[in-house]
Amino acid sequence: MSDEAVREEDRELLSRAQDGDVSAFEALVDAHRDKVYGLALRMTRSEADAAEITQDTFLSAYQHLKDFRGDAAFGSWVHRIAANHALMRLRHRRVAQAAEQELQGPEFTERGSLADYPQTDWSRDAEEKALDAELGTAIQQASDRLPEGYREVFLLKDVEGLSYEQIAEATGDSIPAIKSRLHRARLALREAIDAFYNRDSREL
Amino acid sequence: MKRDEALGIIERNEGAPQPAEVRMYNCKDSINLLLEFLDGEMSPEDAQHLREHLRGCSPCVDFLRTYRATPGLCKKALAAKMPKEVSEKLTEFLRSKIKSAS
Repeated sequence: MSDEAVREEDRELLSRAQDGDVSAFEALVDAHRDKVYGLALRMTRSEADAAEITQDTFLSAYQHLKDFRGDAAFGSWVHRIAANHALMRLRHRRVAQAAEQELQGPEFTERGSLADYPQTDWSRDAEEKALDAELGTAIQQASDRLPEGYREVFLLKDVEGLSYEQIAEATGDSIPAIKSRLHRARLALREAIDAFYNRDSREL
Repeated sequence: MKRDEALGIIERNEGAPQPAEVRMYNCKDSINLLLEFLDGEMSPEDAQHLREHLRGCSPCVDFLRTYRATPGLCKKALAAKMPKEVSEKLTEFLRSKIKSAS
């Protein structure tokens, strides 16, 4: 089904749910629960927290159904609610956050050149090849190693597809700060993937 | 002023500072600006400087391609499906809450 067809179906279900049709709301939950759960799991790295956040998200959505005017897609709206619930939970958990770790980026010469550190272009491979399980694990571990604030921004922008404005609203951070963290998170993850591909080529 | 062809940098002579716009980007500058470049938020002048650097620097071109491929690859790697039992509990939970609210 195309994205537009999904949105149209959501609009239809939403309208019925707003008129009190519980089965229409359940159908919306069925359609979006995996994405909400995935977001919560990626952000909290805890299955128990992810399950609770998913419950809280859909409960909030149900309680505010009448307020939702359908300006955005239902999926985006629920995503933002889930992101807020996940961030709240992380804040509670983050009592004594470790000092910001140094993120690994590319190596340059003294003059700021990559010339002595040639890059491997694995971008085409990444697009065409089905994701290797080992690479998937390497990415998961690299994502887990990111400092919390960087991981949040990366997940919300690059994995969940929220806009900078939505992330700023959800996190309370400024857009320049969000962009700076996103860039550094991407550099660190790119570095981890690069290490994986280079390790592979060395083994051949 | 001398030009370092390998690095694509115009170096400044001591005591004769040059305006910032004369200096060409090096790899580090380019990589620092990739997010803005890909978001289309650079001034046309800065984007031109970056393109000039990329034209002569294959490590940076490879870097740009892999940087651009990183979010999509991570998204695939981090996809998660809700376990069946969690899904059933969610349905049960929502039904009970909706019932008690109505």
